[in-house]
Parts: sequence; structure tokens; C-alpha cells
Amino acid sequence: LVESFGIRADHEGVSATSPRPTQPRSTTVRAALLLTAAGIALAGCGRATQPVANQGPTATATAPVPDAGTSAEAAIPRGDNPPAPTGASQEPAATSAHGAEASPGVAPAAAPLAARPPLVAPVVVVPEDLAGIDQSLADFDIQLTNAGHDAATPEGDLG
Amino acid sequence: MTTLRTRLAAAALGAGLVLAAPATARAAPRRPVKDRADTTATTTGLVTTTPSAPAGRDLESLRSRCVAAIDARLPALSAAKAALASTRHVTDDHRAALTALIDDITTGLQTRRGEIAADTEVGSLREHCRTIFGNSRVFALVLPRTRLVVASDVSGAIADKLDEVAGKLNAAIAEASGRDVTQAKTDLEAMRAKIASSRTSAASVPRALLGLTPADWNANHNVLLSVRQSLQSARSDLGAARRLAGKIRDELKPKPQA
Repeated sequence: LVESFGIRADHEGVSATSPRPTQPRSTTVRAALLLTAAGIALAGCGRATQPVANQGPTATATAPVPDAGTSAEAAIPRGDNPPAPTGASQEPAATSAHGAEASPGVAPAAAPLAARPPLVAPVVVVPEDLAGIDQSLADFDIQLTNAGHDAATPEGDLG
Repeated sequence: MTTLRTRLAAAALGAGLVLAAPATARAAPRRPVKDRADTTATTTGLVTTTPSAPAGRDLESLRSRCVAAIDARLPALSAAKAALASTRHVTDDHRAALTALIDDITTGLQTRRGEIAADTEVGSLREHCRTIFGNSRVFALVLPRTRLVVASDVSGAIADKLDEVAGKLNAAIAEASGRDVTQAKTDLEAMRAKIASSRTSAASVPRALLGLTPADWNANHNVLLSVRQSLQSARSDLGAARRLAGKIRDELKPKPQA
């Protein structure tokens, strides 16, 4: 539930950044109702096996970001389900912060996660860690290359 | 008949002499002049003037070249300052120091532009123009220095992140009971060694760069060379550490069951 919820929330979050002509208030109410229904279903059945459908755009504000890279969440192998890259905004520290803020929302899904079979070797390095390093290495290369270009510019010549 | 032929030959010779004399006189100034008074103009790249050239034309030509040189540098400095303000991973101290250096050079060039516009003599104009280069060194020093200090700070941030990843990998190795993690442990040690080496290479870069002046570059045009080599070494170590992180991560992945 957590993974599907988070991914869906990401999709909605992307689309929610552009102006939408639809009625946001009704969508918010719909999302809240759906979240409430999902919570009741979880409480009643004790387990959740189906993803929440039709999350509204307001779910983005409270949705947990998958692959937080910290605490017990990081021990879950996410290699089969990496999050979409976010380009320059893919700051590893920011990702961890999102994960920390989203921790209350993760709580209801603790039961199904604990029910999984134990991992032989937990992979704690999430894709964001290495992707963030790769981006910083690219920044480094750009600075070094441009420094060489600047230094190669003729300095003391008017002719 | 012989007398007539002699007279015609003499007349032709006389006419030839008359025509040749002025042409020789005009060609004389075009010979190479050995004793040029302005020898410094060659070393600075400034326009060389001959004593016979009109002073007004030289003044305006030189002025336009000097103004163009300033106008090529001011936008570059402005762009560097803007990029510096938005660059991640730069420490506050380095950002402030680099910004102050850029502002200082920018102010100097703006002042020089006004002086050059007001110059009425070639001598003073030439002196002002020389300071555009000798007192600023925008392309040779100011801009590369900014980028190299930024690169140094970026390398530190990468090392921090790699240390964090190494900690996670170490925890994963510790929790991987029942599996052979010998290779992963060896790779993790190598990764940490590479991180430490990168820090050592890049540590002295900002201090070495921020104190440089245009006079330092004038005295030694390779003053940035050792710094660039240090950063290239740091980059090599960081890349190796990054590759080792991926390798260890792959080694720790659960193997698919047959």
C-alpha cells in the first residue's frame, strides 16, 4: 500500500504543479473520503492488499515519498521499483527530509511490510544516493572544464 | 642620322631620370625602421603607432579597443557572480570571498572605463588600457579561480555523500549474516581510502586560490596548474569510490533463488 500510494502520489504531484481547470475543492473532498475509506478498510480487515484508487491532487501534500533512504525503510530493497529521477532537484538530503516528514503516513502499512520474508542481505543504498553523487560529479566536471576554457582565453591581447 | 639617334637617346635617358627620382623618394619611407621608440607595445599587444601617423586616429582606435576589452570582461564577471550565487555545495565563506573578489575587479574595470573615455592623450590612454589586463586578469585568473574553488567545494560534498553511502554499505555488510561478504568488505575499505584521498587532494585548493592576485599570475602564468592537478586527482578518486559503491551494492543484493 505504501509503495503504490507513494508512486501514485508522485504522479499526481507532477500533474498538480500545472494549473488544472477542474474543481480542486471537490477533488480534495473526494481524496479525503477515499483516504478515510482506505483507513476504515485497513482497520477492519487488518491488512491491505489493494492500492488506493483515484487519489486526488491534495494527497501530494501528505503522501510519503518512497525510498527515503533512512531508518528501517532503507532496508527494503527498492531496486525493482526505483522512483522517477527528479533532475537537479534530486538532492539526497532533501529526499531524507521528505522521508522523515512522511514517517507518520507510513505507520498503517507496517503490518504488511513486517509480514514479508526476512532479507538475506538488506540493500540500504537507494538509487537516489548514487544518482545524487553522479549529478554532483557531473557538476564537478563542468566546473573543471569551464575553468580550463576560461584560462585558455587570450588575456593580454588587444590586437 | 647618327647625330639624330644620339639626341633621341639622350632625351630618353633624361626623361627616365626625371621620372625615376620622385618614385625613389616616395619608396624610401617604406623601408623597415630599426629604431622603434615604442617597444613595449609589442609585449602588451597594444597598438603600435608610428610618429608620422595622425594622433587623433590612433587615440580613437586604441580607445575603442580598450573599451571593447572591458565590455568583454564585465558580462563574464557578472555571469560568474550570478552562477556562483546559485551554485550548490559552495560554502558560505568561499561564496562570500569569491563574490568580493569579483566585485572588486568589476568596480576596477568600471572605473577604468570612465578613465579611458576621458583620456585625451595616447600615453595616458595606453597606461589605462594596460591595467585592464595586468591589474585584473579576468580570464586568466578570476574566472578560473571561481570555478576551481566551486569544484573543490563540490568535491567535498561528494566525499560527504560517499561517506554516508559507505556507512550504509557497512551496515548492510554487518547484517548480511550467512553470506560471504569478504569481497564487499575489501571493496568498502578501498572505497573509504579513495574518499580520504580525494579529501586530501582538494583540501588545500581554496586556500591556495583565494590568496592569488593578478600580480601572482603575471609572475607565473602556471600558477593554477598545481591546483588543477590536485582537483583532477580528487576527481579520479571520487569516481573510483563511486564505482566501488555500486559494486558493493551489487554484491550485497540478494541472489535470485534457483
